[in-house]
Amino acid sequence: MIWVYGIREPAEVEPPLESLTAGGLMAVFGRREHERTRDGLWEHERVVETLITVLPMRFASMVAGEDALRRLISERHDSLAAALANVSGRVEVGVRAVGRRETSGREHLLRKLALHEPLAALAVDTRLRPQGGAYLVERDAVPGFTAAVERLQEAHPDVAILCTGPWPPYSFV
Amino acid sequence: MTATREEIASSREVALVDLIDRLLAGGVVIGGDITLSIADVDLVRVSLRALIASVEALE
Amino acid sequence: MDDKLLAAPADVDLFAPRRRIDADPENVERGLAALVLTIVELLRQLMERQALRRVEAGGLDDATVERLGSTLMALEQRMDELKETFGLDDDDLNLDLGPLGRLL
Repeated sequence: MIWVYGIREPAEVEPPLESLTAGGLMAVFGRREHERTRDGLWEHERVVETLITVLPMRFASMVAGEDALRRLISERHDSLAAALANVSGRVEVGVRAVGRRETSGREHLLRKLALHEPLAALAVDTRLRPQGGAYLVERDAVPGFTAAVERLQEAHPDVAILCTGPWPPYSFV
Repeated sequence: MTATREEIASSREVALVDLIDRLLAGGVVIGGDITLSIADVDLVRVSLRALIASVEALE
Repeated sequence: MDDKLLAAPADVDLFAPRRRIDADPENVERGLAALVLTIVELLRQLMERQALRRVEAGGLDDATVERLGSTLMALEQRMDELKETFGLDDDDLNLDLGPLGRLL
């Protein structure tokens, strides 16, 4: 079994990482499994982040061998290449709000939008999901984005706005 | 101001939910079965194709 | 790279996931509960994704907005309560659902 970390433009990889390339797309993988624990997840994440601009795989993406992996990236070449182009030079930032329970459903949704729209304006792409918002931003736009989050926090003192990142673009594959 | 070890550990805890969300529910997916996860509970690998397909047809 | 927190209020440690206080020795019970939670969570996420998509698109009347929002809110609250019961620790993340997986 091989453990796949991500897909990126061809480049050198450091052992123990290995890679294979098909159609201009390079898959980076290893031979050891990561435990499904806190530490294991962070270990996997650290590897993914060394790949800089990369389409990150879901945790525990394993294939039988290199032939299977090569087939996979060949079959999905066009969509993978398009996704990779989309995230090039960009990172994902996560924002979620915790703390306050609104009094009405309408307030709940209005709050969600009020916290989302100013940030969406600074992002190239967004995903607004139950567990929080994901924002695709240019790498050098992260400080400005963080500042915008801090301004939002000041405007909404009754909730705690938690902003994490930069992440590889897990939500934009 | 440098963060103390406690502060780093604490911020790591907060970011853990986001980490799990991304690693277990995001990223490129291999394989046909749906891999479900709640952010803080283990992965459950089940075949719910029929259910997913019927719900997504509504979207 | 390890510290991924870009912005948070000063009392951020209050928002770290809480540890489980009751150690349930029965793996099977935990497994079943995890399974139920998974299915409930899936349905909730599908519904909420649908709702958020429509909210983002705009053009919803007030009654719909209210109904969507209340439902989402209630579901989120319920899920938070359920999640808290199970908490977040390495044992949970490492849960072995082998036999239960086969049941389905």
